[in-house]
Amino acid sequence: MQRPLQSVQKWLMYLWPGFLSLSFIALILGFAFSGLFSEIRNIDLARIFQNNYLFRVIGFTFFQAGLSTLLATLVAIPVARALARRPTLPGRQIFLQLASLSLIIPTIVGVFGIVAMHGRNGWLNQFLSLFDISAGNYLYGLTGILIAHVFFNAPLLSRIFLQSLEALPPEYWRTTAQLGMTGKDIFRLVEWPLLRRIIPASCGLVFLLCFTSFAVVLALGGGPSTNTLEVAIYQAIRFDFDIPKAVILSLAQLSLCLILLIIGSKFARHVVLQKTEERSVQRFDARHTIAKITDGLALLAMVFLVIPPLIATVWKAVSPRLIAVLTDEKLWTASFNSLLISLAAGCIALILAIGIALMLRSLQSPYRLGRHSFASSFATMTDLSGSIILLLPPFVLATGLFITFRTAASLTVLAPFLVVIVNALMTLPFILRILVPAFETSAQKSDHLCDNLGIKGLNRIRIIDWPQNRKALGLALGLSVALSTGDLSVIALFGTQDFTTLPLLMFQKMGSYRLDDAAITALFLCLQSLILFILIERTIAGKRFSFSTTKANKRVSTSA
Amino acid sequence: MPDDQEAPTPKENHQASFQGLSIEKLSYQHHGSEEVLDFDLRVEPNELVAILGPSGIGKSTLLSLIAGFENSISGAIKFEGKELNNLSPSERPITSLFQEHNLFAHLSAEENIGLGIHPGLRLTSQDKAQITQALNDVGLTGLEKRLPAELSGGQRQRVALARCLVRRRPILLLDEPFSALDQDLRKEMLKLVKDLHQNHGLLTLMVTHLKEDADAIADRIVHLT
Repeated sequence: MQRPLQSVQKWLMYLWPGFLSLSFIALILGFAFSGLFSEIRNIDLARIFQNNYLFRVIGFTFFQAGLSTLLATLVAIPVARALARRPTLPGRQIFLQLASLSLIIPTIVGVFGIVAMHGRNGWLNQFLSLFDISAGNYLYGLTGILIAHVFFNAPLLSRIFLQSLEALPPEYWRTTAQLGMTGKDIFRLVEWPLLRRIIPASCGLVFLLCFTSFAVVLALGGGPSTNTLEVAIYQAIRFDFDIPKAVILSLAQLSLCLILLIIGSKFARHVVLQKTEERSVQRFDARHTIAKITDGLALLAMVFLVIPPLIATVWKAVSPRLIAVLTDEKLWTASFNSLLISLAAGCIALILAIGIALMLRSLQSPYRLGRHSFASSFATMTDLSGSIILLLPPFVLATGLFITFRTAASLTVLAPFLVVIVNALMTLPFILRILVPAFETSAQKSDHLCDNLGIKGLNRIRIIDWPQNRKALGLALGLSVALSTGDLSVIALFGTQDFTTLPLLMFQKMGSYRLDDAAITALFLCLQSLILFILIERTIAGKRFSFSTTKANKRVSTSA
Repeated sequence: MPDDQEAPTPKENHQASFQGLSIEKLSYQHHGSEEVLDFDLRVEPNELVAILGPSGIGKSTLLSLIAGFENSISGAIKFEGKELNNLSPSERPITSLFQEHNLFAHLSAEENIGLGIHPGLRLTSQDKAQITQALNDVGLTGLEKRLPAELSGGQRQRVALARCLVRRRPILLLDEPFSALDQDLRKEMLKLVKDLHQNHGLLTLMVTHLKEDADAIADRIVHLT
C-alpha cells in the first residue's frame, strides 16, 4: 500500500496551490449560484413568456455582437495587411502601442471620446456644420454601439492579424515576388488561408466581448429597443428592483454563453498574450500603386476611427474647469476607492492565477505528472474553468452574490467586497493567459537541471523561478490592476453617493451632461490606470524606468 | 569548366556582348551600415559555379542582388547583354531556391509547383501534366497532394526544385539549399541539382559554406574574400 499513498502525496505536493485557488473560485461561484437558484421559485414563467421582452433582448444582443464583430473584422483585415507590408511606416509603432492599450484604456473613457467626436455637438457635426450639413443625432442606438465596438475591437483584431502575418517566414515574400504574384493573388493564396485559421478564435473572442459588453451599451444604447442582456440585468436590479427578472435574464445570459463556449471549443486555440518582435521583412507587393491606394485608405479609415475620439477627450479636458474638478474632494475620494479596489482585486487575481498556473505546469510537464493518464484531461478542465469565468457575466456573479448575502449585511458593507471579488475573477482569465505559458516554459527549461543540481524548495523559487517569471508576474499584476481600475460594471450596480470609483464618477458626470468635467475625470482615470500599470509592471519585472525600455516593453497584445 | 557546351544558341545582339551572367562593379550597402560590399563576377551560360566564403562576407547578399530582392547602389547586373538592375524580381530570368521555407505550408506540393506556372494558381489540365512531369524529374512521383508538413526536409527541397524547373528560367540561384540536410541526403540532392542543371541547360550559382559540396558539383569555385 506504499505506492498509491506516495502517488497521492506526490499529486498533493504538486497541486495544492491549484486546489486552493480552484476551491476559492468554486466557493464564490457556489455562493453566487445558490443565490440565483434560491430565487427560481419566485419566478413566474407565464410573465416571462407573456411578452417577448426576453427574446427581443436576446435577439438584439446577438445581432449587435455579430454585426460589431463582422465590422471590426472587415476593418481589421486591410489594416493588418497594410501594416504587415509596410514595416517601416512612420507612426506604425505608435499605432501598435495604442492598439495594445485598447485593452487597458477604460471602456468608459473610449465611450466618452466617441461621444465627444460623434455626439450631437461632437467634432464631426461641428465640422459638417461649416458646410451647412448636419449628420444629425446618429450616435445613440445601434450606430453608437457599433462605432464603439469597432473602435475598441478593430485595433485589437488588427494587432492579432498583424502578428500572425508577421510570423510568416520572410522567404515567403521573396518567393511571391519572384513568382510575380499580384497583391490579390497573395491575399487569396497566402494571407487569407492564414487568417482563416485564426479568425474563429480571435473573432470568437471579440464576439464574446461585444456580447457581454456593458458600459458601451449603457452609455450609447439610447433606449429599450437597443438593450442587451447585460444592460437589461442592470436595469432589472437597479431600477425595477425586480430580482426574479434579473435572475431569468442572468440565467439566459449564462446558458447562451455556455452554448457559445461549447461551439467555440470546437475551434479552441489558445489566444496567447505575448509580445511581438521586430523583424526585418521586405514586402515587394507593397510597391504597387493599387497596394498603396488600398493600404492608404485602410489606414486612413482606422486613423479616423481611433484618433479623433482620443484627441477630443484630451482637448475637452483642457478647459477652465480643470482646477475646479481637480480640487473636488469627490474626485480624490473616487480615485482612492479605485486604487484600493484595483490593488485588492489585482492581488487576489494574481494569487488565484499563480495557484492555477502552478497546477497546470505540473499537470502538463511530462517530467512531473504529465505522463499520468488523467493529467491531461484534468489540465483541460482546469484550463476550461479559467475560460468559463470569461463567459460568466460580472452581473450574473454579482447578482447571485448579492442575493446570497443581502440578508447578512447591508449593501454599504457588501458593495466594496462584491466589487473587489467580481473584478478579481473577471481579470483572472486574462492574466492566466500570461502566467500559464510563462510558468510552463520555465518549468520545461529548468526541471531537469534543478533536480540534477538538487535545487529545491525556497532556493529554487529564489534562484530559478522568481528571476525567470518575474516579468510575467509583473505584466499579470499590472494588467489586472489596470483592468480593475477602469472597470465600470459591478460598481454601476452597487455604487452609491458615498461609494464611487473613478469610472462611475465619470459616468455620472456624463449622465448629467457635464462633459468638461467628465473629460477631466477621464484623463485622470487614464493616468491613474496607466501609471499603476507601468509602476507595477516595472517594479516587479525589475526594469528601470528609463524611456527607452518603457517603449520596448509596453507592448502587450493578444495573438492567436 | 562546363563539359557540355551545346547551349541554346543565344539571340544575336547588335553588340558582341557576353552571353552569360555578368556582375560588373556591383556595390551594396546594408541599410544603416557603413560597410560597402563590392562584387565582380562572370558566369558562362551552362556553367555551375559555387560561391564559398566565410559567413558575413555577403554570399547571400550577392544572390539577393541578382534576384532583385536587394538593390545595389552602383554597378550593373547583365544577362545576355541586357541589364537586369531595374527589373522587378518576377521579370528577371531567375529562379531561386532558399535554405528553407521555399514552400507555402498550407498549399499542397502540386499547388506550390503550380504557382511557378501561374502566379494566381489558375491551372489547365496541361499545366497539371507539366507538374506531374516535374515531380517525376525530381523523383517524387505521386506526391502531388502532400502538404509540406507531410514531406521530409529533402522532399520539400525537391518540390521547390520542381517549381524552379516549371518556371523555365535560364538562371538558377541556390542559397545554402541543403545545409539543413544530413550528409547522405545532401550528396543525393547535389547530384539531382547537377543533373537538372545539365538536362535543362541552366546557369547555376550555388552559395554554400561547405567546401565538399562545392567540390562535388561545381564547374568552378569562386571564393569571396
